[in-house]
Amino acid sequence: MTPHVPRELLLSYVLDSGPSAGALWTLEAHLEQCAVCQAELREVSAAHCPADTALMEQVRERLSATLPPVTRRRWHRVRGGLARWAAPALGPWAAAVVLVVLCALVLSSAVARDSPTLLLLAPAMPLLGVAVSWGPHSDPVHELIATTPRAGLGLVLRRTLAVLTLVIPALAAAGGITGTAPALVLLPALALTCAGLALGSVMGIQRAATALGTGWALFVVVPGIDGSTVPSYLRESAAPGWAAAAAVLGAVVVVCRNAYLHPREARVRRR
Amino acid sequence: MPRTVSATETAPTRYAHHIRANALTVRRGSRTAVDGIDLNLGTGVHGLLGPNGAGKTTLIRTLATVLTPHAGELELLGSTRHSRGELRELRRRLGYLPQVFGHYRRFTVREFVEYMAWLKEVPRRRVADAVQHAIDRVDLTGRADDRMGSLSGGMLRRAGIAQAIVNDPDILLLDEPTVGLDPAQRMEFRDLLRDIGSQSCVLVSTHLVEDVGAACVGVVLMDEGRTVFAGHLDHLRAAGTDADPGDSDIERGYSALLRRHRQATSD
Repeated sequence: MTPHVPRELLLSYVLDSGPSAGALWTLEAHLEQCAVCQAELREVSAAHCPADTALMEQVRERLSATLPPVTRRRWHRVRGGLARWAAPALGPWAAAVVLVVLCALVLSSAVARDSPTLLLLAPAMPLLGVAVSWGPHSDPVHELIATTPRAGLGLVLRRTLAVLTLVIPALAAAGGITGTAPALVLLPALALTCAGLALGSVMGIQRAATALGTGWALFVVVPGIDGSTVPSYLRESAAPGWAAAAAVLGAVVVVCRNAYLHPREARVRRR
Repeated sequence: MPRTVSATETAPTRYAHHIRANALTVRRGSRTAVDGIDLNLGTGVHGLLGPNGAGKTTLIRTLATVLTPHAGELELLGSTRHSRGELRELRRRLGYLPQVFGHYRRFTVREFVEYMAWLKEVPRRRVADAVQHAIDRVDLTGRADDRMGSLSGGMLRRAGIAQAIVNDPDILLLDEPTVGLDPAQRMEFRDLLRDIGSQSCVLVSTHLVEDVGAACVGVVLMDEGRTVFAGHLDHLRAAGTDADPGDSDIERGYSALLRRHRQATSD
């Protein structure tokens, strides 16, 4: 099949005498997108059905006078303009570069001025892992897993344990290096992970982990990042409170274990 | 290697129909996607037909226990799955292939089917056999150790069918399984369906009418969340006349029933 529509086919389309339903559908789908064939169609219809073409031109003029013009939203225009310069696949890489530079800045300032950055960032770290390991946006087999017998609290705990096994040694090592007490680094992380799972029984684990992580970043990390005093709830005296919170939230997760059998994400509207 | 057969496998079934639904209602957001459907499906291959947006995918997802119904009764394999243990037991005997088959691109076919076998709690001693048998049945033996990201569309579908049958399910739910398969593969797939349908209840949602005609015994026709027709394929064939649009008697029967249903509900 040539990349453009042959003239005879356009003629039979205009005279409504030829193409079968399947060919018609393919033809119209191509015509909607190809400006060259649209121009040729205009020529063919002007040559063979001048009366109909004149009528359609009149209708088009009247309509375009009365209908409001289509304006693309500003973000779409910017994105379209950007795509002419940068490769579209550059987006995630650019975000990653920015993130790495910011992290380097934060960490270097933390080591230099002995600020409580580690204490502020540590609790949110496991939440990132939990958000990524569960949910329709990051796990492509999410729907199938929901129909298997192992779906439920067992699988959720296995995946969370895998995330914690990766994150806790790293946090403990970082705590050892900067000299902060390990309980202060680990207990809030555990409590926040249990909170994410408990909230996930209500609104879906990915959404809960993302919401909690964002909330922690906005309300704790950002205000405290440039101060040199540790907030009161991250001091030594608060460690038992975090342990109690972790225990209570863990009990909530176990009590609500039936909620994990049916993923809340299944109720998300498909775009 | 002989395996011991457990008492549950040789016990007689106490239910007449594998899938039984009574006034089943499922809502998606504010829309009622499945509106008071009655179903009685037993052993055999059943086709689920209907226009786009009729609620077929929502119905299949509800039968696969992904969604919970908002109203009505749903009985799968004789149990109305109230407790956690019953739900687990039911899901062990279920096979499901969704319309959008999400997969891990870096897994090989064998690794993926083994992972699904683990998730479906196939006994460990039988996993290797079951996986090989499933891969052989869908004719992917030559590509079993290739990564799923390197498979063509039709082969990916076949890998999806392999994971659905790895646990020898009693209920097999397939949502558009023949998308991307070439005609020879479709004929082999129909043989596979007939083979599975001799022992289990298979529900296939498809737009391809010739697949329904060749493999299915019963047909359920849906429109806008309601059942238009549920019965034997021959009754669907007999419902159409020469005046109805369609190139085969199944298509004519389909258009005739749909037209009558729409006229009846618009009155």
